[in-house]
Amino acid sequence: MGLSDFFAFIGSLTLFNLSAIRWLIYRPPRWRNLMPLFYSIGVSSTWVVGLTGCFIGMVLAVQSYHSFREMGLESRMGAVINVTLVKELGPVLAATMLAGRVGSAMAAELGTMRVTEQIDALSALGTNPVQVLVVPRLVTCVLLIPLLTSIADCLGILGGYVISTSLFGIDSYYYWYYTEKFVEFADLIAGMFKSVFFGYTIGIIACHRGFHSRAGAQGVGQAATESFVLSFVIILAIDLLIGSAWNSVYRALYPGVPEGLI
Amino acid sequence: MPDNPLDSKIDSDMVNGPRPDKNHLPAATPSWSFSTFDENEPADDRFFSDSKENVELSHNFEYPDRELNNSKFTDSDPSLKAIHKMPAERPLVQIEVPEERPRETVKEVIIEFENVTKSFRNQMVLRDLSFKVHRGETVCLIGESGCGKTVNLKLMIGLMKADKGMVRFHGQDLARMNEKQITSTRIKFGFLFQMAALFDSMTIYDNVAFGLREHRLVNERDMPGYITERLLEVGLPVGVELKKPAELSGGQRKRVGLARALALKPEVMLYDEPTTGLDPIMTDIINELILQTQQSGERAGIIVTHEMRTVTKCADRVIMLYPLSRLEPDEPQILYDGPPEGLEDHSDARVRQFVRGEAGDRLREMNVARLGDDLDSTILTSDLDDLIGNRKTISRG
Repeated sequence: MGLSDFFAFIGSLTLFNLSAIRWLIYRPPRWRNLMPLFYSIGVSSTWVVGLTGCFIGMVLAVQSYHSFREMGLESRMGAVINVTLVKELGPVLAATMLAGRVGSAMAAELGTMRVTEQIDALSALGTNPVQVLVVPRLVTCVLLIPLLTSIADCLGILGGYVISTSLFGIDSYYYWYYTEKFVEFADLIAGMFKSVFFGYTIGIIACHRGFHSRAGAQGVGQAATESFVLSFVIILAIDLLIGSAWNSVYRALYPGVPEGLI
Repeated sequence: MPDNPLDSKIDSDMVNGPRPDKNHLPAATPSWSFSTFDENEPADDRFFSDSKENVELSHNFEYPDRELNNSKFTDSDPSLKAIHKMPAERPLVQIEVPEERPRETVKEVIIEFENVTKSFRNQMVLRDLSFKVHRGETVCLIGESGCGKTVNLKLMIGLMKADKGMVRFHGQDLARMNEKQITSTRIKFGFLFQMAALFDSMTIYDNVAFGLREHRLVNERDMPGYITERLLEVGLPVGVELKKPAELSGGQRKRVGLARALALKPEVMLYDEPTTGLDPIMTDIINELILQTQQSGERAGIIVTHEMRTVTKCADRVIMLYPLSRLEPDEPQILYDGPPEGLEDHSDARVRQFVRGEAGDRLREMNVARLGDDLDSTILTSDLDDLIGNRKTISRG
């Protein structure tokens, strides 16, 4: 991809964004149009998001136990595992699963619609394809990803707790004591806040790739792959950006908090 | 309407033919996945007239089953039972198409192309194209694959924009319209896509209802009757509306596409290769439906096709385009513009060859590419393999 292609892509993505936002404000989607999407994007992702969340909690416990043990700090593991989960891994993992499961499916679906002229047919019937296809999907992704993130968080916390207490014999009282002491409500909000941006990214990238799919089975497949890779890269970039911005804001609001605890 | 004897024949035979009262049909119970309709809102009267007896349709063609709806059929009527056993493909009455249909000379221009040029990347597809389509006219656009016929259709409804020149609808330049005007223009067009382009996540019912719901043209209460009517009009049996597009055959899908386009009662119908990929019988049925759609005399139609039977059956006028790669830089792209009768004996050999389906020079070109320039131009392809075989033996010897 040359430099001019890159700028062309950025430009087309920006215009696509503006058009989606314009239609969202001008003609917000109806609830009954959203319901089927809520099901296909949200409800059917619940299990896979929960399961991966649970496993990542367990893995965190397994990986951190030995280092903490050497320092004699194993009773404080709960704090580390849960802060990581709530602030970082929960949202990113839920977003990854959503980008893989829903994003690429959306890109493939819209790509097929493009190739079979269904998107042209929407225009020919006097409707706007962005309004009919993109806006509902975008809204669904943005509304549901905080919920999916919270599911990943909950099951991750549970998984970490079960492994720490049953496998490594850490006292359950201290596990929760230190969790309560170090995990703040702001951490939870930070994760949820980030996830909204992740959801928007997944929706817009998947729809954009689908709309600009090239002809043929290969074109549609490529759209699906590009959608996943691109949205994942952008999710991580946004994660870094929002993470550091959030920390600065937090420090400005609570100047007394020592560096290491954030 | 029927000042033409043919019209009245079609009316009485084909359209008014055995047909059940819609109140006796099983009620459609569609899924309302895309419903955006408030049932209390009044519907546009012109889109549903059955409930109001003796109300003249404000539109310029009529659906002639109003008479039938007024309790002509009863439950005890034996003909009704026969109707319920209707075959899956509703038979269309074959009618003789006269050689010459009456055409009025001066009519309002609906679509106008003025020096339109269109390129894709570096490939120019249309060059300096100018033509007009008048009210009530059925124009066939013919030409080889890749000469820009479909692009023409997409330019007409603003799905693509011309690089140079103007496309006008009722004298208004499409490129200068704002979004609202473009939308209201597009509703006046019906587009039958090549592969029908039905929304495959929706049922047939929702497909046909889609445009009506989006623009709130028919009340949700009246919708089932209206949709059934549209589907019967294109000869699809009752019960098909609950299926998904994937469950239908190619011909049925095309007909649903036609029903969906006609549901908005368009002023202009655009057909993109309506008979491609269909068997001869289905081709004839689609041709018949196109003829039936266009017969009102008010609706313009543009048919992109390779099928010469469609041309002879439906066209008032034929425009033949030629691929730019085979034209001299200053030659006009339109090789022929006139009545279908003039095609067969046209002075331009390229037109004759296309109409008769003879590859002519192309075969020679192909053979030259394969065997070199010294080949006799009169040689037939069937003899080529022998020739190649001989050469091989000669060179070996």
